[in-house]
Amino acid sequence: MMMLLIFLALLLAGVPLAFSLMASGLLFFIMHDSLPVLVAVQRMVSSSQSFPLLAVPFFILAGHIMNASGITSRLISFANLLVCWISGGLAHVTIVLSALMGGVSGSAIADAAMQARILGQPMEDSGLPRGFSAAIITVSALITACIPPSIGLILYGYMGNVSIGKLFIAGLLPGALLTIALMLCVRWVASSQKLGNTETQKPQAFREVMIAAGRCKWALLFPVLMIVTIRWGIFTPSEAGAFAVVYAVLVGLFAYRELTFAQLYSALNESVRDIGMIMLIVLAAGTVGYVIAFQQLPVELAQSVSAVTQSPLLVLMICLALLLVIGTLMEGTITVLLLTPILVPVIQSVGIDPVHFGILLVLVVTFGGTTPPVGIAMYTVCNIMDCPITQFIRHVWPFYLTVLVVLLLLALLPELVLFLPDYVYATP
Amino acid sequence: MNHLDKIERIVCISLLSAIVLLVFTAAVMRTVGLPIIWSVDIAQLLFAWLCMLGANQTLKHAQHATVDIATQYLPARWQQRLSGLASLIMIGVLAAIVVYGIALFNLNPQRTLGSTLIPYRYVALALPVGGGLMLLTLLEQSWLKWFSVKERAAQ
Repeated sequence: MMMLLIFLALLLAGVPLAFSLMASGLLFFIMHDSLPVLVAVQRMVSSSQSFPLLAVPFFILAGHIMNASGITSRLISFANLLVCWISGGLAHVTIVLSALMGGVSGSAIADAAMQARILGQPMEDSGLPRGFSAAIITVSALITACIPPSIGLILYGYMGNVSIGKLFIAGLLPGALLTIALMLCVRWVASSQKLGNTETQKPQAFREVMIAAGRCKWALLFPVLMIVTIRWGIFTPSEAGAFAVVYAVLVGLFAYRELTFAQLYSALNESVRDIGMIMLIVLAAGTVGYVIAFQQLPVELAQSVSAVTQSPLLVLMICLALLLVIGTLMEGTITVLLLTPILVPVIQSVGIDPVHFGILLVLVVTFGGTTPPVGIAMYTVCNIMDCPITQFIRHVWPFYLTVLVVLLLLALLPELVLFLPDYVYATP
Repeated sequence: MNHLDKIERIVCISLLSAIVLLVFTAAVMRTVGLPIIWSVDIAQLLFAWLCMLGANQTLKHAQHATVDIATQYLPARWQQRLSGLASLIMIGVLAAIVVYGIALFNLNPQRTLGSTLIPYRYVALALPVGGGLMLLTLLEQSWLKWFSVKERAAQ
């Protein structure tokens, strides 16, 4: 409890997240004579020595290289051709693009930032209000967070000892569901408010679409390759990450011939900084995670929850409501890192599948990043597009509602999430 | 300081590339039936270094995730004081990491890394070295900030 207060005080005083965690963790060790401080430092070192965790730097780097190697720009023109004619125009493009990019890039926020930079201005030029554009770019980042590879799912699997391969496959269907739901919502809002001018646009002929798909076949092929290789045990998720990097470099160098040495260098350089940020938090969470386990918080919580209720649905709803509150107040990575080891034993004790819970947890936590007051994705997109938060909020509520309905559906019907992984991983 | 930064950046980029190639080659070699057992251990050793040195690169560009919902409403003078306090706390944390990191390095020199003969302590060494470098970065940043505040006061 003390530790939590110190952590929050430091965080609010403007100490970076990773350092607030380390400071509160170290203080706990120093104040407890039975715990040598060496263990705190030892836990930081050992957190980095995990093979599944290597997937994190790989997918961050792969995302940066895909942007530089021309894969991203081809996906944008493909998405444009595919859905630009639907009422709402470019707003559909950003949704479909999130789904396509979700298959190659792991970071929802980086993805939203990239889309705000590239699609923000064209969206405004096409007659969509700025707040509306910013809102849909931000909320559609949720799709990226759920379609594999996803950094959130990797971290959840790492902390909760859940198969990352299964989580990856489980994310596919909810990602598709979110895509369709958001597109329907955009269509409804756009046609009822007469947003954007799409009268001159017509659906493309099937031939045109196939030609465009052929132009970005290397990018579209990648998610398929990844799922196939992971499922049939050719690669582990981490190895698939290394494969993604090599694949992106090769496509950029030889297939598209767009990647230069200078671009590769700056992609590596930017990745190093992203990795430094996220990994210092992971290392610090190693120390705090030890304290949480030392105090037997997960066990106590599981016991007190099961004393109140045995109903899996009720427990799931309580956990999700808790996550929604914490997720809106706290940065996403840290919520996943700290709450996964606490909540997974709780939900397992009432018989909820940790794969089902993982998808919901990552979605809810990422959703928190798109809402005020601490929505990192929201602030990033609004900053880039120079959009006042009030305008963002005026246009965002139909999307929030859509996401909440989809979340509720996924929570109530575990089969929606578990059907694919159970089918794919069924022993032949 | 500039040279140190350049070297560090190149080291980080080489580490990241090396980790990718190590894991990728290991996966490919295993698939064709010639597994390399040491490559993953080396990759993880390098990863510890990448994390700590990369964290210093992040620090230099002020890209560590920070929450500013509370501080942004404070008057500028209070913001300055708080950021000074935050730097002090970070310096304290890093100093502890350096001290205990060195102790950890000296704790168990016999333990080796997985399948290799490389001592495990070289993984642990990343912590005090990275922490020390971050300490230097912070001290330099605080020094520059202090200087500019003083200069403005003098004018």
